[in-house]
Amino acid sequence: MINRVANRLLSVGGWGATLLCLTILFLPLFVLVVFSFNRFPYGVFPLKGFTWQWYQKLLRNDNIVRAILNSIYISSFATIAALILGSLAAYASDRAIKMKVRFEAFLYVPMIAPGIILGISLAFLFHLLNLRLGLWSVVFGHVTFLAPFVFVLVSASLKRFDRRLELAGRDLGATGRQVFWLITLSVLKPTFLAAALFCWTLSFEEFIVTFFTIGSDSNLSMEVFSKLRVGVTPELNALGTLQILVAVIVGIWVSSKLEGVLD
Amino acid sequence: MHEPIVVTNRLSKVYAPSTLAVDEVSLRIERAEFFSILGPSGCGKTTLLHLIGGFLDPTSGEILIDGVKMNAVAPEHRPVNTVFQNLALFPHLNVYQNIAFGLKVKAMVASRIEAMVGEIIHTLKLDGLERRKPAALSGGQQQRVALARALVNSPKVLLLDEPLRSIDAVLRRRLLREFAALQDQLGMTFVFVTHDQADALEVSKRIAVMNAGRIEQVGSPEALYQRPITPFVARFFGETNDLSGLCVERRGDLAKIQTGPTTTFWGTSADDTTPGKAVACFVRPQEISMSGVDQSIDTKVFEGRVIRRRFFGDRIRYLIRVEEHLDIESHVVLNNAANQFDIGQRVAVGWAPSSCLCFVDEDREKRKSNILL
Repeated sequence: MINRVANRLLSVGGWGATLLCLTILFLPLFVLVVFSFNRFPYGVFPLKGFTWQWYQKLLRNDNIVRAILNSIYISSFATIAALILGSLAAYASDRAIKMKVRFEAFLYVPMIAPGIILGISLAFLFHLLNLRLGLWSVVFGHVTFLAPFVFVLVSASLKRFDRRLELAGRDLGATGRQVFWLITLSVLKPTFLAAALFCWTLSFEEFIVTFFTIGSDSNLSMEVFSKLRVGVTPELNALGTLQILVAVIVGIWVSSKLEGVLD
Repeated sequence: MHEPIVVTNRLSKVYAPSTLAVDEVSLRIERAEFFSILGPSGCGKTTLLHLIGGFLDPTSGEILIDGVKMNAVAPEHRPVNTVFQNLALFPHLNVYQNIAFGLKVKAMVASRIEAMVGEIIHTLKLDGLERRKPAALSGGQQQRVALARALVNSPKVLLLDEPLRSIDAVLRRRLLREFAALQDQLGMTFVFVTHDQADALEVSKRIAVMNAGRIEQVGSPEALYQRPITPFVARFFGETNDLSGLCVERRGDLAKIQTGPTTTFWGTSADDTTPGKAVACFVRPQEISMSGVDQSIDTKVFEGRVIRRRFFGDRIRYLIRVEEHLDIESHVVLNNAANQFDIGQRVAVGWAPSSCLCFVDEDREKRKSNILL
């Protein structure tokens, strides 16, 4: 009897906790989405009716569109560079370098260092070298903390990778190079996809390092930051909603892509 | 064409710093033979196979495949293919792509690849599974894919590195028989590494028994069972009574062995068992005859008491205690003439000297000389 009551309480409590958790996670996003369609320009209840106008306004705003394109540019190049560098380092550390422990410790530094320190040091370095800041310096800055993430992810996959697959490839007549491309890299493909997505997202939303290294250029996080000085506008709500939409679509696409590979 | 397909001459592999994994192994594997390398875990059999496959470089000695020296040839250029212990199927490729891999990297024409893969898929009864990933196959299907992936390259020798280890015994025997039938049909040489003597007996034409990096004996299953030439082989194949004692007399092939203060028996020896030497003797349980103590049998060796009796359908297994530390197991096939004995009953056990094989016990001899030194 007591047991049944306890079980019932546990189950109700469990549901309650789950619901609370979901609410905390999704309430802010939900509010943002709702107000992006609200006709009244200020964030107060009651709602005043449906409109697309903030979306139209957003897409007509050249500054924001240019900032979005800049952000895509930065994220894409930073992701590609970080993927190449991080993967090569992971491969070398897995296969060739003997003093693994110390080597890895060095790589973790930019990942753990606070963004503000990293940002200041990068700005200082570019200043010392007398280089003009711009989008490329942001890309460089992002690579410094993204490459270690790639390194960690790819290293973990390489550790789990069954080297006997490479022996099997050689046994079947593949050269060392063919084995590398057709087996090692192909088996690791899901890892690269996951790492790329991770890097792209981190880079896209990154603010501090960008702030110190972007100079007179602008990207999305800079643009949002400068707009916030005059308060949250419905345009920003619309922007946020679009980003959530993209994240959901990409998330579904990637998980469907990884599904077959991971089981 | 009586030249063997695989020859190893005093092949050795030393792992750093001084682990001798393969110790001067000289083997000749004939064409179209199902040849097994049998030995306990860690005896060097997988190392030997990897030396033939080219995944390891020998420390000394040479390997010839089809008359060509292979020591410095990379694995992708050797006319052999391996089915690995864990199968090593490519997880990112489906069944068809796995099997076609070897042909594709050799840049074969697409239409030929399709025909060859299609044929081997049919031969190994994998039809309909072409688009499946290895993870979606049963254990037996995975085995067949691994076999097909190797066979489609028409190797001169197929190396099987305990590929069936993870499969239960019934299915394993069935797959092995399929493999053997296929080997016969293709006329290809299979070299099968295993630690399971029953598996080896199931399919092999000849077996090499390996222990501690060395080949103990090479021969047909019958020869290994009936005429082992080392104590290791005698112990490894089938059940046997393992008796140890001291040689007290030698007459031609026969040796008289003392096992206890008052117990002696005669056995056969082919080596230099001479009086004074420690010996290991082996008699199969089914070679041991039993009778009541009141009956007289000419092969009588010991008297003892039945201490265990187990019924196994077609036979009864008795354990007879002759004296402390000397138990004899005897298997009596049940037929109309068979005597039956009860637990506690005193019985006479015996054997013909020709069915008791005696060898100098090198381990005990060594210990003896160590004490003397």
